Amino acid sequence: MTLRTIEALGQALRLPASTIERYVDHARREPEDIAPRNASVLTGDTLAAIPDWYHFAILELTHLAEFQPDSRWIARVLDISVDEVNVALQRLIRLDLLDMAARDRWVDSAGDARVSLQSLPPETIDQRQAGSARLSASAARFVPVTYREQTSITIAVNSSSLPRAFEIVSRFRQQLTDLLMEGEPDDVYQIEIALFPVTTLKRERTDRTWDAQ
Amino acid sequence: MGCAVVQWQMVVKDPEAQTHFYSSLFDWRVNSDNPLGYRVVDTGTAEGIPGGVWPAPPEGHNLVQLFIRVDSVADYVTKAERLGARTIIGPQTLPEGDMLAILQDPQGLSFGLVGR
Repeated sequence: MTLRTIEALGQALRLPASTIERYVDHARREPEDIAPRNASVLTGDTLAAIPDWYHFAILELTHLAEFQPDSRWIARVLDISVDEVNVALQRLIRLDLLDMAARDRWVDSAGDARVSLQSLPPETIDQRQAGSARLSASAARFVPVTYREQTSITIAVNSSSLPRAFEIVSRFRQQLTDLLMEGEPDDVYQIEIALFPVTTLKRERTDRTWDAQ
Repeated sequence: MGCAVVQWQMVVKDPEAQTHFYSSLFDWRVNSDNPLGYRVVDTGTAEGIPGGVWPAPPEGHNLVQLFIRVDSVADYVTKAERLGARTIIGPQTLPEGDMLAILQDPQGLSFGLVGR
């Protein structure tokens, strides 16, 4: 979202000038201050080419001490087929996200890439979110609560607090990532953080500015 | 040193169905007991060259590739690019030690290089 769009949206919502300025400030600072350290944001084109969740899981597996450069092992630990692994490997290598540097060493060239859904084609967003939903549902059903945390809450909110909330989410995500990446990794997890409206009220209030996003 | 065509490869969206068809037709044996789970095809004869079957992505299309053994994959990638080829997959080290690269020749056909 551009700074100009944020301003237009804020005015359409009749938000106080100070609140709009906080939104703008938040957006202006995001690339430097809020993105996780050492993280890169993959472009929409790249993400559109790797719609399934397990591509990133494969990259993350390469960081584990017990990683085996073996499609059969990857398929087993991710509970997907060997063919799915091999198709994913092709994509990752073609996109320069994975390098089979030696027979026993595969390198995650993506680094700690952060996935931003902005600028993705709608069908890619649908596919990614559907994949995440399936993973989440599967974890909720089959993974003991000792190994996961899954909560959801629906609440009435004061929208003027959203900029601050987004900031808190960003910092929380960073702290969580830092904590979980301390020491030697021995498993791969997915962190899903979502805060979004469940009503159409903002669309009704903002009219044209909403469609311009 | 010559550069022999050492293998053919079918890249198909349904490798299981493909190997089933050819195994049924020619009694070819398929063995995927290797680190990539690669379907190595044994035609059961010393004549000709061996082959393999590899999965194509859903957005791709079915095709057949030839693999040429070279003494230096990296050098031949450079040479091929100089001659107008496009690198699809740059030199990668396979789990069993060979290097592999996939290129597209100036006519649009893809082929593989294997070697060191």
